[in-house]
Amino acid sequence: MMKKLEDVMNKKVVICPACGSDSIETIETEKTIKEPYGEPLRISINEYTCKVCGIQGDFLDNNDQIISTAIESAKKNSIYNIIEDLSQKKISMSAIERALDLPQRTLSKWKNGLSSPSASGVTLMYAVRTYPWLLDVAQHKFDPIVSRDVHIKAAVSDLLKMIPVIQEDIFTESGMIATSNSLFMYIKIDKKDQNTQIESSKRENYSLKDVSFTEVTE
Amino acid sequence: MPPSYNFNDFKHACNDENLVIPSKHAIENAETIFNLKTKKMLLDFISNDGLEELDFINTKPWEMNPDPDTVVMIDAYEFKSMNILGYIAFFYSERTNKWIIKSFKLSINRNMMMYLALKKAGLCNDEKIGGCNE
Repeated sequence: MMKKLEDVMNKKVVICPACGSDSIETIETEKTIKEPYGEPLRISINEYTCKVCGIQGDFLDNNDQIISTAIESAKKNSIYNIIEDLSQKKISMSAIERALDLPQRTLSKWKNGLSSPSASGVTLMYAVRTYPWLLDVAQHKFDPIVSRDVHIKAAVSDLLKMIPVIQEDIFTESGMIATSNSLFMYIKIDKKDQNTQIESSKRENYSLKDVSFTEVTE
Repeated sequence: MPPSYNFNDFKHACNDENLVIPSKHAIENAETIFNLKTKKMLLDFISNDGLEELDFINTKPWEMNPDPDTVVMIDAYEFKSMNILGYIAFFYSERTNKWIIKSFKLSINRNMMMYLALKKAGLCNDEKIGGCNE
């Protein structure tokens, strides 16, 4: 009996922070937390709606803790996936640690959950996973000339992957027009249709602005 | 009409999570548009001068105020953060002694901002204004 009374006494009454009304509707909502390169994580949070003034939100301030914990968990999962992915690409953890000036065994500790990277450490790993050539840049002590060359080489390599080249296609024409702040590239491909044996021509245009890439198909 | 509140009072209040309540939509937009994933991140952003080039827009009565005897005003500002032009609207409830962030979103002028950025980058000229706006 005393326990029940205690529960009632301790029960938090939800008050609208805007108008002070206690006419509040509680809605349990599902939320997805996703960090780059990690699997989505589903959590359940409570949201409140004031029936009098219509304000909606987390009136009891409970959700922040739930969301923060889920983000931490999602980040750990991301870090695990990133390190695993780099390992599969035959990039050794000790080589990454050497290039990035991290203490040896840092990555294995992050991967196994023995320690957690700081927020900047997490962002560093997202950047390395997105642009693995950053390791090459770091390895060369961020030398501006080497960094530029590595960057351009990686960009051209990506660009070539984006151009639809089939072995039997023939490049009949190509060119590049550059201005001080943009680059326009075009290639003309003659395609041979397997069924009709009719040759068709297609011109692909590529426009580069700084490091961004836009494809325009005629 | 000048702002109804001293912005610095609101900014200082953001140091105390118990004093400021962002609305559901403000929290959602903070995450999707500004990468501020929690209430704490949002309030830290505001209290640490994250709202750059703050520009007062207007002050209006809170339309949903259920108490006709007390006028509650909402102040609205535009701000910049990198290349994002944002909008914030907030008010203070004397009844609960709490600040409410009613809106935290992209400013409706964002297209003009984008246009100006594209123009500066040489990717858009005056003849193509229509093409540059969404």
